[in-house]
Amino acid sequence: MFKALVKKELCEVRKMYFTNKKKGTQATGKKATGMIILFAVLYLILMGSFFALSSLFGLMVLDGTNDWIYFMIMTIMAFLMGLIGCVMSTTAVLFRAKDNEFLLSMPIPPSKILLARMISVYVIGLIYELMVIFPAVLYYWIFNKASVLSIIFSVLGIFVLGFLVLAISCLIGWVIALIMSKLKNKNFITVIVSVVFIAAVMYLRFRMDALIQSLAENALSIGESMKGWGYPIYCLGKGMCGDIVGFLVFTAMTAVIFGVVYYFMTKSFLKVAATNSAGSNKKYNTSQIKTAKQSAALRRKEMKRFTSSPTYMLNCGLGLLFFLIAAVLVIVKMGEAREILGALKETVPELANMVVVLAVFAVCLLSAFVDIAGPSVSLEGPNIWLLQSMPIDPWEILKAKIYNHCILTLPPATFCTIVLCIAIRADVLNVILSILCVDLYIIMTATFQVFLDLKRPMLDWVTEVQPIKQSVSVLIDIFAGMLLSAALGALFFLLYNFISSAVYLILCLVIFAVITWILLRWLKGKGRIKFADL
Amino acid sequence: MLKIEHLTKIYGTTAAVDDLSLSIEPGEIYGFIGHNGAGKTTTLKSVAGILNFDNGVITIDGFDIRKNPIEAKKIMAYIPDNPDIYDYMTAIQYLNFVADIYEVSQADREARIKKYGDMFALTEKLANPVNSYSHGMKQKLAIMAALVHDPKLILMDEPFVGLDPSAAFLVKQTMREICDNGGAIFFSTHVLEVAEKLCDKVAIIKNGKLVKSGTMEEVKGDESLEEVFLDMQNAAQAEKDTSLNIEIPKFEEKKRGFWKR
Repeated sequence: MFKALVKKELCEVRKMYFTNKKKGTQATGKKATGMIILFAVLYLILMGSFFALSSLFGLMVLDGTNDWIYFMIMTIMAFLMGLIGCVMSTTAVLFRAKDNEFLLSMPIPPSKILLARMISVYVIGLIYELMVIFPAVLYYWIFNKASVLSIIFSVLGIFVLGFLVLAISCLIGWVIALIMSKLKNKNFITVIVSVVFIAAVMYLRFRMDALIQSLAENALSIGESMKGWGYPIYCLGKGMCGDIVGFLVFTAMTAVIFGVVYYFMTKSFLKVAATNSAGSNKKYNTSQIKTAKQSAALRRKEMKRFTSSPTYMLNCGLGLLFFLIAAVLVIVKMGEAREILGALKETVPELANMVVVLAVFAVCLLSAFVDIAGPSVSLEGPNIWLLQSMPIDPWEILKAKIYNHCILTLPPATFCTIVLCIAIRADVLNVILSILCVDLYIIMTATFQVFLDLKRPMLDWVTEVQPIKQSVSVLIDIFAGMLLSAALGALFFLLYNFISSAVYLILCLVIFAVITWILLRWLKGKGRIKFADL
Repeated sequence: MLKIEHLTKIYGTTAAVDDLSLSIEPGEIYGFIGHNGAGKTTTLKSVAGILNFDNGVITIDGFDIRKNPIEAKKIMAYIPDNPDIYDYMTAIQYLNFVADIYEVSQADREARIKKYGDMFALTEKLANPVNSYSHGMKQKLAIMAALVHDPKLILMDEPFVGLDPSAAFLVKQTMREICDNGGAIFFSTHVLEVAEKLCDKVAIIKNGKLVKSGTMEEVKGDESLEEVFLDMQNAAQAEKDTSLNIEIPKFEEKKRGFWKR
């Protein structure tokens, strides 16, 4: 029974990536191979960056006596990465799955349903955690004399750490679900709580270089104090270096934490999962009957869809905050930024021509973290019959999805661009071109996201996390956005001797306009038919 | 009002609907009955413009659903068997959305929301989120949304599932009222007693093929609709079993046995 449950959960994860959306069958042959290669490439790129970070830190810390500090820091980073990877979807996966009632009605103990779902969270957490910890371990094995015990314990430690990630992630998810079942305006509260959590993690990440530097300089004294008040963390580092006692203590500690979390969750799983999340009675009056045009109604519906789901807002709209944070940081540090820029311009005169382009594509890079339009077609899910049976041109529906992405993204992105332009003292022409370039880039990516989701829709999801977070199209949206903006910024390094920044931005504008036009034409033609046939 | 000509829908190598033709005139309640998987929902979805079909022509009040889908959809409403509606909206937001899409004026929507809200005892709950609604309430809301734009043709897939007896009665009453005012209703059901009492015409579909259609009297004669339906089912089963050389008891015996229990 339990095996069947686990199989079902893992099938849900696999279905996201390797299902032929048209036929509903498992993708095989070239398509499956293509997907595997795509994932492998993206994963390796990220692992490569963490390998570089490991080597940087390793060079400062690894000396044969304080190696545990290296592992301690890297495992903390891996732990945070795993937590970021699965904490935002844990509540939805564990408690808000559509098949809750179906499974709970079957003769299966709720604890087993919970455990099976936890295994899928464990797998997701492990994927994220491995991104950091595997390069760190690999670096240690290659450039240090790793003992056999160290190799064994670091391999085992990766899996044990996964349980710690799972336990803490479940604990946070459980607390959120418990609080949410008692609160009004739960969507925004969830978003605020999660944003605060992410901000804390980001702050740590931004301070990481300084922390690493400080740790490297004070390794011995920190090590001594860790042996006292931070004994479990010390054990974690020691264990990964091959210390059997350290490893066993850390494993036991993880087992206890996991056991306690699992025990309390099983006790309240039924209550939390079966709680109707609807909220209290609200008063109705006829003033709530309002007339709007068709297009406005569709746009309002898209906005409502976005703001009604914390999972959607956090995973697809977090980038909106990045624009504002970047803009505020630039305003606060404008004086320093100008000083540094001035000094750089004196040393490298070509930079004066480059800086506008770099600023534009930095904003474009941030926009890669906004993929509101990315899962918008898939999110129609079981409700798709409604739009299909209504007298609306499918093109209007697709247009509303693009509009919703743009109306949320363009204002903060434009604001961020203006602030950057002021900071770098760009002339009027460059300011106008920068704004146009960023805005058109965002319109293009929104159109591309709808195009891609329409090409690979996932309508038969069990939880909305699947189309929002785990679908291939969303993954491609994010990485394609990052790569394209980085590539366009880098390309100017090759061209700055031949063309001015204004000309380059005009060229980019033309390219964006052409791509957008092609995508819109497809959506208006084939896309419209495709949507009607979904 | 509705004309289906030679409708064929194929899934893989199986014809879910095979050369089906029927027409519904204004003022008619047309029942559509058949076993599970007979092709009722496929037919209804094809008429509603949700499902693309392989062959045939469907016209609604003269508008071809393929050539003029917008015009055709403007005058009809579809209510599915499972009321999957936007549960992230409140009921009134959902009704507003539907009314906006069908371009219903403020005065008309206010009047209809009041009328049907009061009728289904939902008015007080209209400001609540749809996800707080029970299955029956969602079904009532789906029916309200279908009626908010005063359609000429209503397609209903198992409309009585999940409704309490009083709501089911009100729905039947409303169906009759709509047809008395010149509208038409095409609905599928497994509740044969309801079909028998409510429908002006009925069609029986089996394995995608229309096997009998016409006025209630034409279809059932002196028998009950249930007997006609079971006879057909039994004949089909006997045909199948004969081809497999299995001896089965006659329908009369089976039927008597059933009633005895």
